[in-house]
Amino acid sequence: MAEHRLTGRPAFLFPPSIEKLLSLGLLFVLLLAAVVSLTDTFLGTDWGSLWPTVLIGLLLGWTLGIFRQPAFKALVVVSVIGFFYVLLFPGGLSGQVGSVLVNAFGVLSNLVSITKVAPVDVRLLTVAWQGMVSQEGLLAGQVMTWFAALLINPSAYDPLVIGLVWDVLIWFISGWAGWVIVIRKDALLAAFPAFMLSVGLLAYSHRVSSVLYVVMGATLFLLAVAQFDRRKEIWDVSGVAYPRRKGRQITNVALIITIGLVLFSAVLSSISIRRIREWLIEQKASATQNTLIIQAAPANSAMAVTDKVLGQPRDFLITSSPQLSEHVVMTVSVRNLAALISDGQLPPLYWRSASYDVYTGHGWSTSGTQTSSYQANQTIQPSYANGTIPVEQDVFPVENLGGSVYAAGEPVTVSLPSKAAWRSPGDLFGLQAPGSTDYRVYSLVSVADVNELRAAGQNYPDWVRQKFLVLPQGIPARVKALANQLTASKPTAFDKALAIENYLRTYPYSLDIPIPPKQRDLVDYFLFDLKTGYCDYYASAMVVLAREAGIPARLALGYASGTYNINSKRFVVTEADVHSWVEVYFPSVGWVPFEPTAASPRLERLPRFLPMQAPGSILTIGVTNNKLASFLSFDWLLTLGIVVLAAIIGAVLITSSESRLRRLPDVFVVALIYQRLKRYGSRLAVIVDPGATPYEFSVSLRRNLLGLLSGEEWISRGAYLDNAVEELVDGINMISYRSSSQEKMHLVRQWNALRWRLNAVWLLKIWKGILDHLKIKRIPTSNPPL
Amino acid sequence: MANADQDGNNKEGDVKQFVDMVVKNIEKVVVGKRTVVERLLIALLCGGHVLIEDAPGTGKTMLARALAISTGLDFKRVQCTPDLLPNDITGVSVFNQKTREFEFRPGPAFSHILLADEVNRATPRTQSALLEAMGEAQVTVDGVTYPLPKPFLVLATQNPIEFEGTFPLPEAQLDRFLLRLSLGYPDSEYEDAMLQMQQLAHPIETLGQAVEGNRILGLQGQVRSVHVAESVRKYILKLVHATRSHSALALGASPRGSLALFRTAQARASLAGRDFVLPDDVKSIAVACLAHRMIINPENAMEGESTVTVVQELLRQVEVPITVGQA
Repeated sequence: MAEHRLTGRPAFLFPPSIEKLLSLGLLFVLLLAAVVSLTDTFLGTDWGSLWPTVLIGLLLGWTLGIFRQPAFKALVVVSVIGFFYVLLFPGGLSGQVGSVLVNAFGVLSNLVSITKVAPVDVRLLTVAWQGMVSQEGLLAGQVMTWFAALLINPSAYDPLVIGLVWDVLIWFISGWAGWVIVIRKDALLAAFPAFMLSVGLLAYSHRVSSVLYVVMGATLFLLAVAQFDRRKEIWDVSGVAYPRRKGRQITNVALIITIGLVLFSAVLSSISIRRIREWLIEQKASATQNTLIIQAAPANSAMAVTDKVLGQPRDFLITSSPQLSEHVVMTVSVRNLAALISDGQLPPLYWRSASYDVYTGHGWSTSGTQTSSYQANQTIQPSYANGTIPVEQDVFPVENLGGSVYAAGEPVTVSLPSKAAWRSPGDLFGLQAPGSTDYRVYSLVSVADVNELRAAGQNYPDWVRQKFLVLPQGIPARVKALANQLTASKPTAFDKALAIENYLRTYPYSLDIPIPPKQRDLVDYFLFDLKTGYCDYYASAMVVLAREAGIPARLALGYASGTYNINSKRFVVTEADVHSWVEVYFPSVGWVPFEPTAASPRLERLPRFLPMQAPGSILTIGVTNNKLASFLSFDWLLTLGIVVLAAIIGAVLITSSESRLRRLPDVFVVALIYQRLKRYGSRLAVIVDPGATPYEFSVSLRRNLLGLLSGEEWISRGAYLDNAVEELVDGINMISYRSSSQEKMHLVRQWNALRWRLNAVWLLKIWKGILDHLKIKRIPTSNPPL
Repeated sequence: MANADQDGNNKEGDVKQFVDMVVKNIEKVVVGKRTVVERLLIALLCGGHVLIEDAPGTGKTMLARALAISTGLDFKRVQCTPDLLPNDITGVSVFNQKTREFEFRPGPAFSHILLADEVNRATPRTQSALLEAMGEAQVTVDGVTYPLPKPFLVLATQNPIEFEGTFPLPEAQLDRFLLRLSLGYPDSEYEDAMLQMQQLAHPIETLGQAVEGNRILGLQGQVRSVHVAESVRKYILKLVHATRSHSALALGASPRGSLALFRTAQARASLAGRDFVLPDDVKSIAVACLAHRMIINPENAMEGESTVTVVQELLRQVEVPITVGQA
């Protein structure tokens, strides 16, 4: 491959100008803002590992830019370093590699030391090496599994791998920003990926965040600084004398304008037409003495569950009347709460600790379990079900909860070493983590919509059939009859379950009930004699009725959501929130909660069904199809806005060079175009003396172009290109050295026509270089090059 | 403005057309020397004089004669020898017996094109008389000043090999030449063409006039109106200043050198049919225009450097300004 010889001098002499450092700092702020919105939105993303990624990636790209590395080379360097960096730090291999290095050093120093005190011992090194290799293997396996699962099903979820993927993405975005700001001095282009990421994330999470102001301010200021830096270069090229203090003046003015604009936008954004309208309506309403109170439904109304049941979940047996207690047992904070809300609804967040499969007629127990141990953050069950959404919850136990791990949905990882009790693979009884410290759980919560559940069918796997359709002998016939009566006319399992749920919700709720007689079947007694009760009764009855109707169901035990405290942004869970509910199994969806207890709010289900989007888009990583679907449907206007914005920004980027050329005075236009032509020259390995005139340069360039194109059947195009270059340089000469100039626009048009062709030739050259490199001999199609 | 441009364009066309016709005519006699011919015409258009350094027999005289015939201008030739007196060039006052008055008999200087062969063989006294005529475009004989005809082009030749019995021109005098040219030996194909052409008769015998010589004065004015952008002016100055601080040179180019480069670049631009000067014009003429005005350090000369290589090096190194902002 031919060497790229860049004839330009280094971009600057040390120390770098204040504008360069300032733009670097602003890019850093911008990228950090993007990372903040990222960690706010997505699970598995970790601020602690992302900000060093931003810093190192940005500095690497910047340094490559300073040394004028061409794009291809820079990309290779960033990719290689990025690979090792991501593996070592976010990938968590640094410890292993470090210990290998330390041991290797020890062995080496032992080898070279003259006084051999001990025989060389490589065992430690071997152990460390094996540890590193196995950790690598583990990581690789996890990534492979995730990718494989992603291909089958886009809701594949593994916090570690998703963290890695985001790290890689952020790494490249940072490297790009650093490189572009030096090479192109184009703030818009440099910040574009980071900007789009922030905007996309904000749009995705439906949030107005103060991060946006930071993004806006940094972008505006960066634009001004980079623009000035660029202008300075033009001045330097064309020999314009300008006072050095101009930089500080311009920076100050830009800062003031930026702050002003940010404040203005902050004020402006708080004025919304809807609010004004509402205010007007309110005024009108009060004027007509109609007390019409408009209030937004509290976002957390769905979780304001106050179930008046009591007692620690324990080996489950229905007992006598519980007592009320408002004693707080734990608080839970959900990091990605905002991202969970769709259509103004939260998916049900019931903190489950255990699920039961065996109904005894008097209570509940579990069939035999096997216990396996897991390390902190190890993936417990890579659950790849449809219609689930990852939830990241930090649980802060107040009481000793007996080591049970509470999580909404199916837990994926726990930040503590834990033991899981499995009835069979995929069928978790419960998780135990010793101690009562805070922990973080990633889990998958079902948000499958109505149509998906209806379409799920009844093709149950064996382990479900064997455990969750089984009932003890001696269930009274009237229970069976009732189940039949409720569900016979319903077409799908979901509708049947819904019918049972609705029927049970007609039973009045009561805590004040007698202990059921020992000889009676609990469900039969509740359904036909007692006709009132609390959650345990409702849930038991629903499971039994469902199983009678051929629907696999289980009883889930834990706490209801509790009360959401807006100030602390946590769910406050009290003893009174102890709850039992029903989970019904749907093939390919998994366990879906149902709420038969009359006193608890009904579980809302998304009514709409949108076809799933193809996987691959960045935003679908860690996002379930439901979430995406609701995102697309709910805020199509917003999406449209983003698309339009992206299109506008793209168009601006494409035309900005042209429009900039149009605006600039002639002399600068010529200098810029000539400078760019020279850049293409250096790409095409045109070597000229520093004292070459434009004409002399064009002669060399044309010779190179013809040389490059001669082997191809492109001769006619080569001649065209040759002419175009000649004309362009004629134009440059005309404007530069003639007194009057009407040809500026003509020159800009010529340049725009030419540069795409030069790009094409450049790509051709790269392609030829690759071919040469690979030693692939091409059979000459036409005459050999002259 | 547009009108002026229009005029300018026409003028350039004139110069180009004029030069093309002359060159075409001369090429009937002297083949393969287009660049030298053009430079002679540049000197003519700038009103300057040319020093030709060359071995004998390369066609200097023939070139001068062909130029004279093509333009219909007077041509005189002086062979410089140590016994040549100033009056042999300028002319002499002779007492007329009939009129009882001194009568001026003009010398060879009173012509349009004067070829002074082997100028370094003349004594310094004669040399200075010639150079004064070149510089002032007039001669003074016995207290009476006589203007020389216009245009006036002196072609002085010098043999660069032989130094025996010569009086080398001092730097101050060399500086008065606008250009220093060298014909050099022709390429073998051109030499072959020359042999064929001269087999029966010398083509100069049948050469006719191609243009009106008196148009040159008008064209000289037009050459001066060729636009020189500020950036090109700065470039000329940068080049000349670079010679003054160059370590290999004992003496750099004078301000007269800057002016010469400026003028000749203008002329070259109009030869190319342009009404503005490109840096390429400056670069192409710079060696011919500057090299003879400078003195190289002896130790650098020992290393094989010459004023020509220094100028060439500077042309490679000094950056060409593209534009100069108006800010």
